[in-house]
Amino acid sequence: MRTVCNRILLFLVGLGLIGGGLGLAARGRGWYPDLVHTADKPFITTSQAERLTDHGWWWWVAFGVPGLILLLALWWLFAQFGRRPVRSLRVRDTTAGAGDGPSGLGTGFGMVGDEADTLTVAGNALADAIEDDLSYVDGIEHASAHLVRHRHGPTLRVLVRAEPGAEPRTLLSAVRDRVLPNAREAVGLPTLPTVLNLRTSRGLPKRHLD
Amino acid sequence: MSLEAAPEVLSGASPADTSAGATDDWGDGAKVRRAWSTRGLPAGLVALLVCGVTGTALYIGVTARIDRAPRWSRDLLERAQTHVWRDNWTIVAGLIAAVLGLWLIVLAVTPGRRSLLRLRSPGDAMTVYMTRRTAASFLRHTALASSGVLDARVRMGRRKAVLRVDYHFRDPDDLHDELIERLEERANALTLARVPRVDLRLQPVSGR
Repeated sequence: MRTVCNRILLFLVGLGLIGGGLGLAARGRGWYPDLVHTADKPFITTSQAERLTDHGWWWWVAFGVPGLILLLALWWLFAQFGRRPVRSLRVRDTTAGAGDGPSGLGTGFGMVGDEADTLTVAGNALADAIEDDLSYVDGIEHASAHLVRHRHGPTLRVLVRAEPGAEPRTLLSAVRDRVLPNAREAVGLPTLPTVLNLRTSRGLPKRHLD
Repeated sequence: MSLEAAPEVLSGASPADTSAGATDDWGDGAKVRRAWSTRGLPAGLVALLVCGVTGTALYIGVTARIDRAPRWSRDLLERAQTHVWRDNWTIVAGLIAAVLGLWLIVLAVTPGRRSLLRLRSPGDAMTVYMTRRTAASFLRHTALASSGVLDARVRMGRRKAVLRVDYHFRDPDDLHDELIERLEERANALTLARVPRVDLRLQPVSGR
């Protein structure tokens, strides 16, 4: 979403810059045939300025348009800094006695309401568990996982450092068949979209003749 | 479902899954899109620039309205009212803006993230990347496993992997055949969306 937005806005700004820049250069060269737009006038003539300030709407435009653009640009700027980690996940509790209220000592413990039959799992906790799971897969040296909020629920981002001799196919099948279903089942998610970045540890040292 | 019930469900289901079609349910490499960058840095910079320009314009406007315009803004207005359009600097500024705009458009329509190679998806909503360096490292490891190979330097492209291999005490043709076979097998096994061609260049090394 952010990618699409950024690219559309960049494209529009780029178009504006090209149009404006070429227009500016053309006017500087005096390529406009129009008599009104002669190149030998100053940027702003006093008559233009007076004509504009005579209109009642001018001040609205003069402050409204830059203000609006400023707001949009601020929104665009701060959208770039948005890291969106998953703070917590709600999981349906199906243990016996869930949702029985305070005496049943369900799982809420006052946090989500005692009669609620949900528990909350911290996003970090699930990510750590996934990391731990990943580190048992053959060929994986080190793994780090994060859960990121997305439009349709959480997305898992994983960085895996594999041994240079590892077989990516078996490694990825193991992740797909063991680790991911584990994570999904643990919090009852129907799907868990995953972006996995496969790296190797630093390459083998350069060999020399001894 | 309870937390401790999960592993049983899973271990019962997964062997059936793998035996059903471990080879075929991996996504097709031809349909895989390249990695597209968010373009966060250019977007942020442009946004910052636009903020600065419009903020300054608003500041000038407001201060001028209440007759407290700072000196530099009055100088600026003075310049704008005396400076004529026909000037080399106008043209230069216009052309620079146009080139900048072209660059932004190029940024907007190109994927970026050239270092990332997509892998065929193992299915299950998985998106897998590896960097070129990673693929190179895998291939290098394979090349170094052959006897007689001293060192291998890999230049990884999206379509082609160029390996420069130093060797000694080995028949070059023999080594070439062996390496090509192993490397092509390895390149296939990396499950890259586009299997790179292997370009092997052997260089004899005779001592140091």
